[in-house]
Amino acid sequence: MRLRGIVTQRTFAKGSKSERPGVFLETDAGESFLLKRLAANPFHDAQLEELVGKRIEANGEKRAYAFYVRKWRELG
Amino acid sequence: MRTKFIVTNVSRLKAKYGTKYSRVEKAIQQLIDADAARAITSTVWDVSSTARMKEAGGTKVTRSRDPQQNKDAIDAIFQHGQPDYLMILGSVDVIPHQDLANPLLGIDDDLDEFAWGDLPYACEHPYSTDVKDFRATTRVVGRVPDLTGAKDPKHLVKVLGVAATWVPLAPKHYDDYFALSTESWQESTKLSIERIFGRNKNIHISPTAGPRWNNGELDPLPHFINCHGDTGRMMFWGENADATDQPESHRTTLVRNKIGRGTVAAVECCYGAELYKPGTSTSDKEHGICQEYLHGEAYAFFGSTTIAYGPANEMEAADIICAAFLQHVRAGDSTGLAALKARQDFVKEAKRLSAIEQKTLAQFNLLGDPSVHPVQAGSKATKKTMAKPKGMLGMKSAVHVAEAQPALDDGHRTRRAQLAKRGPRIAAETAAVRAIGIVNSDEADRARAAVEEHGGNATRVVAYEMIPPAVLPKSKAKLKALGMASTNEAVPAPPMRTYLVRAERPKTSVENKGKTKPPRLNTYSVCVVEEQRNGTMKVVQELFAK
Repeated sequence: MRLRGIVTQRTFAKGSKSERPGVFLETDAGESFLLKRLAANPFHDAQLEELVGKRIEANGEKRAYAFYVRKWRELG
Repeated sequence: MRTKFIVTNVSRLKAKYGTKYSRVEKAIQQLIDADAARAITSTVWDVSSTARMKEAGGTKVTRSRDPQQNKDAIDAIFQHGQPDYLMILGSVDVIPHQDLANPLLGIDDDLDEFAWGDLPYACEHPYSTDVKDFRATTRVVGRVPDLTGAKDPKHLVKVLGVAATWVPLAPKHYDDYFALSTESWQESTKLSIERIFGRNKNIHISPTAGPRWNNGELDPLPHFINCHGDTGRMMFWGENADATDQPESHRTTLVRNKIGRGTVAAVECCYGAELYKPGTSTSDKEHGICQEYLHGEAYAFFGSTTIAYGPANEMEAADIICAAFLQHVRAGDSTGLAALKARQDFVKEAKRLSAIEQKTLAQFNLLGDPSVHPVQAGSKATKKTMAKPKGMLGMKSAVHVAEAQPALDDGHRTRRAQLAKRGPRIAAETAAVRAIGIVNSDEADRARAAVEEHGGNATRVVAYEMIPPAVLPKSKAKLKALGMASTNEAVPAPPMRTYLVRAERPKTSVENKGKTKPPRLNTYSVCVVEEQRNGTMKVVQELFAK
């Protein structure tokens, strides 16, 4: 599936054993998903962190609260 | 004779394995035969069978993924025979976990919609999605999973073979341990290990320990792991002291063929016992570490399905329930009884189940045959009582054949009856909280002021309503049955409201043995603030100091 939106960063699961600076996609439809890349380190993914503050179109798959992004492009 | 009910969905197993299902049938029969040699009468109950469910006085499951249908069916089966052990056979695509609502959803970005688990199968309370309804655990339950989405039953046949050939070992075999912790949580892990083993040396710390283990490092039979985990992933991660680096610490493919037969693992990691389907677009190609442990002939894996909780420097939540499980296993209980007692202990220790504690109770599950006794009980065993299961090809022989089976009819009925009373009694003594969302600014301000007076810089305030205990017997006869003298003994008067207030603190260096460690990244705690009878607010507890 394809989603468009702004990439943001905020703490994910604060106070839990999964607490980390999460990279989120705030979609144009008003939804918010934790961005992930399959097989990447879920705690620090430099490629996703570089997208913070940018507007992107992402292709991937939604599962629960996460969007597993396969490829993306920055939008102007 | 003890009794074990093996509950499964044969239609689902046949759909998964086709003609290869006959191999599963054969493995189940071998387990039943082996159990008979241990004086355990085991019976298969198929929730998809009209005839069997009619015999149990229930209704067959027509929608295999429907939690309520499965809960109703298992309740009917359990009530029909009141077995000593309830063994769920199959993964979540055979018998699903129950869909308990995550009481933390929407609070502090815990985004799990459900705290999936088998807790409700271990309770008398009928189907519900509210964890608070399942404070009274009374049943000995464990799950022997196949691989989710599998088409070949090889894994299931292997783990059933382990269930058929277990033999208890002398307590000394469970004295040494394999403990693995993140650097950031090592102080908490030390407390857990101290509680379980009476000492806390030789804990592997990541970084830099793992994920490659030398021969022998994984040999100790109790395993305790306090690391990071993630959904759909076949590894755990460590973390340095300032939480800036999370290297891999444990991996399915790197523990393969290295797990000792008889290993019993208590694992705090988020998603540590998630039974995900491998090889999908959102999961690793290999199954999770929990399944690898079982395939490696571990006797039990106690872990979480979802995001778990535990502080860096103290024992709370996951630390407590995992430590209790291993303590009871080491004391000679079956793995299923250890899981039951761990849940009861956890509720009892909490007194008032916070939302975090409710999620913890819901999400930790036992994987493995619940009738397995890893450690010999106190009674002396003889060769006559030793189990002699039929030959199981491919099983490790190890030292187990030299060990003897404890007597299994040593007053267990009496003890079980006591435990059946203990669950409701603990529930009667335990309140729980429910989030009530936004509170008016005056309340929030007064809660913040109490925290600031306590020394913290208060930020977020979440208000909770105290839910009184689920069971509050009024008649003297019922109180006596629960072993209580009066309701006053059972239930302390709860305050009207409780507030959880996040308190940020200045970063501080940590002094340890004369050395100063760098400041930690997260320096905050959650303060429990209660409104007193005189209307003042007071910090009564500080949780999760990091």
